[in-house]
Amino acid sequence: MTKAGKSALEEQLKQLIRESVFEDDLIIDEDSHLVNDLGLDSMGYVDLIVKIELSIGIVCSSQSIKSVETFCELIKLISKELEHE
Amino acid sequence: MSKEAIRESGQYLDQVPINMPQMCLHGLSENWLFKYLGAKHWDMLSGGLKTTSSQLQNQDGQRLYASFVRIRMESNHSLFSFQENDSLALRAQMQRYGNDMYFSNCELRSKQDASNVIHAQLMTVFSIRESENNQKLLRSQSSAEASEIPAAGKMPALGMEYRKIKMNKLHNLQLGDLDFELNDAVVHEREYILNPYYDVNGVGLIYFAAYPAINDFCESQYFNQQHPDGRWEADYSSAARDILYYANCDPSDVIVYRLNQVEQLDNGLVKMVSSLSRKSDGALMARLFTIKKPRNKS
Repeated sequence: MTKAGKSALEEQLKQLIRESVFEDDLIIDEDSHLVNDLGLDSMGYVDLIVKIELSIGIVCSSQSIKSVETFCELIKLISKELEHE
Repeated sequence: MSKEAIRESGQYLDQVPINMPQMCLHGLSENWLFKYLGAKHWDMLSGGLKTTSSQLQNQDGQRLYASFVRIRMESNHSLFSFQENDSLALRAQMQRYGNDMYFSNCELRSKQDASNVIHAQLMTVFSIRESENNQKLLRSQSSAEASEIPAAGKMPALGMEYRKIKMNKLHNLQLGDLDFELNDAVVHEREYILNPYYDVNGVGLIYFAAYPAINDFCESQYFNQQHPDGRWEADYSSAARDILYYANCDPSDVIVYRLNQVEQLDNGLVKMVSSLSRKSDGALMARLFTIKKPRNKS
């Protein structure tokens, strides 16, 4: 994935997380913990999985997403899935 | 006897007579209604997953249990308006959000008076039990493919509002054209000792349909104390109810009922906000928003 592509993906994922936790101004950095820092609860994870599927076209299992702890790990997971497409 | 439910163009249809098992006091039993709607929700869900409720498992082979998240019921009269020997025609549909959240929309219409209608929405997720402790239910997912159940493109409002309220980002909701504010004030508080023969379901959990019954029992104790010349339970019946479920409890626990707000409106309706909590650790089990109508105005 190109640098520009990665940056666009990061922004897209940040927006999806903001929508999932109802926080338009949420500051997200690479080390942000999805639960402790960003407030993603179990239903938030479900919401994020569906949003990723609908807007990025990647089908992630609940188990794979829930094994991810930080935003950085989420980018890696989705990037890897995109490369397998 | 209930006719066997049939599916027709994505709709689930059923017909059920109103006789003594469906009734309570002077009208339709809300406890029966919730059990019936819950059973139909699970019929649609297990049918869509091509399995039976007892066979539902996650990918690790663990048994999945039903966890009701929210139930909303609105009747255009009140449950007193449904009388013996009438019958109800059910029309219901289910949709899912992802593979984890299931939503059903139900309409129950009186055969004797087609204008007498109940609308209900139910939302469930799956849980697993890692021990016999009912305080530790964990969210899980079904291993079965849910492709027969239509997928929603965005989270239905029933789930969205629930999440926003739980995350403290929404502080009010609409029910029966009335605005309810979340309220933690305490107008009245009392303890309820669980009745395992009545409140506990077939898998040892407090039944979702028991929550409003427990609430109403405690509520009636309060109103009957305040107004000894009347019988609250016989004089008022639910016209609308919205229950947000947060937790279960062990049958040996005690439930603390709190009436957070009560308001008598000019048209005779009574609007209430209440909650149920576990005595053992104080955890909130449910918030209930209720509109009751007097019998003479049902």
